Amino acid sequence: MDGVQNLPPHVQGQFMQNLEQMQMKDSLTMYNNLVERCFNSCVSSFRSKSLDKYETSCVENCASRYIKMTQRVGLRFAEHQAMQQKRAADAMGAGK
Amino acid sequence: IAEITRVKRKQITMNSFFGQKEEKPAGPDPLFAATTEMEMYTHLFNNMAAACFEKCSSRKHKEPDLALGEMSCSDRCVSKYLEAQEKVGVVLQKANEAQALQQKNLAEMQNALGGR
Repeated sequence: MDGVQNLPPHVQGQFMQNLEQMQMKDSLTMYNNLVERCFNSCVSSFRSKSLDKYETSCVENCASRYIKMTQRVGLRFAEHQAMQQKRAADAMGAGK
Repeated sequence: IAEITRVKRKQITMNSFFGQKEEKPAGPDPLFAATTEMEMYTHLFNNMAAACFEKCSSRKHKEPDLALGEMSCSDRCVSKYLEAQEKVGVVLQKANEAQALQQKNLAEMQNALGGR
């Protein structure tokens, strides 16, 4: 993430603002995608106007599992990034 | 010398994280570069989470928690996804270089013909 780390200070404020906006947009997008995903996998009959008990629990479980999986993926991703940065730093150190 | 090594280091690591999937920013507008890099990581993360969810969790959603098998599946999924990303990046970079070379040859040929 060197483009981010090497930002000159006078644009860092602007960047943080951009980042906040991106995060807000991203969380709304994720919400919509999650709803679509869980609806597609859980709801398949339209005999009544409201969700039956099975569909309700399925949707709730789906959302909870997706969030847990996202957290886990984020953890592994961060580990991988850290390892890669360490490897790059070591390579730099060895190259000198 | 410290300045040069710092710039070079930034260049090389930008190549490895950033330049494999996208072009290096033509003029160094750091805000744009940083914002684009952040967007790239966001997309990467979202796509990875979605793909691993589709591949690793069962459709039934009977429980609100992940099973142990699903958890280890998602760990391996992350690792494979990132490795696939690197390999695709290498292929893309080679294709870009080949195309740049081809365009250069074409331009030289045209210059040679136009010079007559």
